[in-house]
Amino acid sequence: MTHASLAIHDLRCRRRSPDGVRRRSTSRGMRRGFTLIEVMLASGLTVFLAIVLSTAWVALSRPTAELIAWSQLFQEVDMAVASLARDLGGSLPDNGLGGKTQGRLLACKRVSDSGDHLWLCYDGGTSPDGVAVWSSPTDDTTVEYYVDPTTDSTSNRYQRLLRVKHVGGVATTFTVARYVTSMNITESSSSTLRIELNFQFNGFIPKGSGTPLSRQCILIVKKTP
Amino acid sequence: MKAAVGQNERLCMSPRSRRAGRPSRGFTFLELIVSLVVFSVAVAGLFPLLVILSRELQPLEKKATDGVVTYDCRSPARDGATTGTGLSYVQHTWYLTPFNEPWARKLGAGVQIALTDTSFNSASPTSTALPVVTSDDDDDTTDADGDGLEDYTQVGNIDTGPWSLGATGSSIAGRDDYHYYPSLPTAKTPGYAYWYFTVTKAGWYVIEATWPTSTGLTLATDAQFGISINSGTETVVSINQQVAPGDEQDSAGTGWAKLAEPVYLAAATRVTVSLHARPSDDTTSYVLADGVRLVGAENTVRLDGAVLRSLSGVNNNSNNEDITVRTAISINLPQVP
Repeated sequence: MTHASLAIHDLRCRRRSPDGVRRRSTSRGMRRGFTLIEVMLASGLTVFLAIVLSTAWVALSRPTAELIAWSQLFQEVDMAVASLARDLGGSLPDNGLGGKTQGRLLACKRVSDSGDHLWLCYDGGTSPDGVAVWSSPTDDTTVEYYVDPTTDSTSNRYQRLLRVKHVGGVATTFTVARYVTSMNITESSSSTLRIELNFQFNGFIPKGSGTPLSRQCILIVKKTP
Repeated sequence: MKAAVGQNERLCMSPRSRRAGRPSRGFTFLELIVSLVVFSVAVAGLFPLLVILSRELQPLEKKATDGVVTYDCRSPARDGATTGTGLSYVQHTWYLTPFNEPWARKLGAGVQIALTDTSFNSASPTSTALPVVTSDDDDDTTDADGDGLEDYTQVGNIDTGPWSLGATGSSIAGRDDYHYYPSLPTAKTPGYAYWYFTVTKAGWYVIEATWPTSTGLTLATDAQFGISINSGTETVVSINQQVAPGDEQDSAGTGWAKLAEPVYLAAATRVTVSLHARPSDDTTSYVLADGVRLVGAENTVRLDGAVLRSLSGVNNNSNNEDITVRTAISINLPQVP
């Protein structure tokens, strides 16, 4: 093949040559390009398709994200209420042995220490005396609820509601729920406590709201159940 | 030369074109439109998912709010406020009440969560209390008996007639003053003391009377109280006034004697209670007129766990724990006529 024949054929092809130089093709029988109308129509359809897709995607993703956020928030609310409901049920839940007076819930009280703490006292020992011993109990078991103030206080995210069980000087800490911003305890009457739990999910802000998802849970419990 | 050209054409073809042995072509406009339609159908298939997610959101937002959630689309605010426009929710207070039954607690029963303070197992059955309507022996229109109601409008007044006032002081029934018949006639005397009542609330009532016993007078052993409803036939009840009334006791410590079994009285029923001035043929004793009242009768049944302790004859090997026995109680309540 001579150089001349190759050059002629390259002109017929509407492609770049290996050396990158664009060459014109004017011969009959060659593939023709898109017309301007076709290009504009295709561009318009592409834009329309992009708009439809983005709208659908936003409409689909927003509720999904909000649903997930609400689910997580209420899951934490559920866990907090369930834990309190179990502990306030009247008997130490993890002590199923003995008579009905062993492990009986004797009293609840509020202690202010870097935030409100809820203390529960359960009668302990083999001979329950019905007297709540709060400080350094040897027989009685105490359970403490409070919001951990040290957890990521700068961003106020993932704050935790902790449950601490004190038995014979040994404390066992358990995370009850996340996204708990505060727990406020007041005396609603002479015999009841009002527990106000505030939850906030900072990971998602609903459109048009500007504020994170939040819920408040107010519980009334008896001091001496 | 032709061979060279053919070789170069093959080089310019796409691999597919080379396999097919013909040059490649672009998509036609029809193919493009069809592909767009197919894609749109695929996107539209996501719409049910969007609807499902939106529907799931609503109950989640309602959760812990007792389902009371309102949404006003005029405001974009979706949360953060308990009242006003936008999505708002009613913040409820939940009462956590443990079981009263010790074994239920011991076996791990959680608290009862309610919107109201139910005080589970401890509340006694309650009913709408019927009023206690008292009439003293005063003949005035003031609230002499201290029940907050004017005697004249509520209970009527004693028609003392020739009766004498035995003492002065508080006119409250059962207190200082009373009326008595002054003479000792030798024959029956047609003198009566009357108490009039108009029932304001329908229900079952007990009719009771009181009188003082430390007057120094010799009291009748068969004082004749007459009860008439809506001016009907009078039912006469004989009462020994020498015995201090003690069937019931009010908050002031005054004893009351029951004149009749509970009777159903419809609203606006007029009840007349009379006291005969002379008991039968007795000519030596007095009858005293002081106070009469209508007391709403309530069938209150209180079941407080019905715990029977230390049953004898029962072999109890469970660490001297109490034995709980549940019983069935059958109660016959009077029917409203």
